[in-house]
Amino acid sequence: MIDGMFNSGSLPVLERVVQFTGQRHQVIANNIANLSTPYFQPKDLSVEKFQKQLRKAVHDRRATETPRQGDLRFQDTREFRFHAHGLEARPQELDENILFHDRNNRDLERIMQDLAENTLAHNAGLEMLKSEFNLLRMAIRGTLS
Amino acid sequence: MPDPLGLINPNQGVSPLQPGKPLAAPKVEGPGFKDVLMKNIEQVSKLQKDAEVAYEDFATGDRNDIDGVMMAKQKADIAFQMLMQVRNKMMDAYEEVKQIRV
Repeated sequence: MIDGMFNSGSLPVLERVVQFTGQRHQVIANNIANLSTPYFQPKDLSVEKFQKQLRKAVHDRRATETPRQGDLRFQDTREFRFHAHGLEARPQELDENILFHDRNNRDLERIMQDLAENTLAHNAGLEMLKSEFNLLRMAIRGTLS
Repeated sequence: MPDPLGLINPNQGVSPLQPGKPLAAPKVEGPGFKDVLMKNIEQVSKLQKDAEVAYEDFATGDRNDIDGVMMAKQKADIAFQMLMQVRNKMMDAYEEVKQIRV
């Protein structure tokens, strides 16, 4: 009963999204901290690859007999490992930027853009998660809000 | 006191109760309450399903119109609240009817 409550609908999907954006925030913050570290190469987590894995899992679940219930089954890749309790991500180094003389290929604008995008995605995911839990709470209590 | 206007007439309008004879159910037009309720429950369920799918599609990047996603979700939530409130009021009415002594 309790498992079915948390394993149905978009809750597991949103959980993964928030896990991913949380991890990516750490990576981006690390990039900012090492902006002027010699020999440092900025790293990033690929949103496209994560979404590809997520899309595959969601579509696999939709193809089953219970399209809106059940665990999402992920395939681990080199970059992402999906554990039951969290997401383990390996940031990949970016090597398309200009290499500075201190062997750091930083790109401040791009880092800032990534940070802003990631923050938006994180907030949107949290907002959605909140509304899902609110709905559950409402249904359990049987009263409004 | 006499009744000059003729307003008090026990045999007018109300037919006297006859024991042992069940009252005939009045004929009603249109769909019954149960049908209306079931139709609305289905509607709310569909709205919620659509909202869930919208959330999933947004998370996987299949769609990126957050306005449409939020709209679908809010509609589903409001519809669910409406349904729940109808159910609450219905249960209140039932409780009240249950209190009537016959």
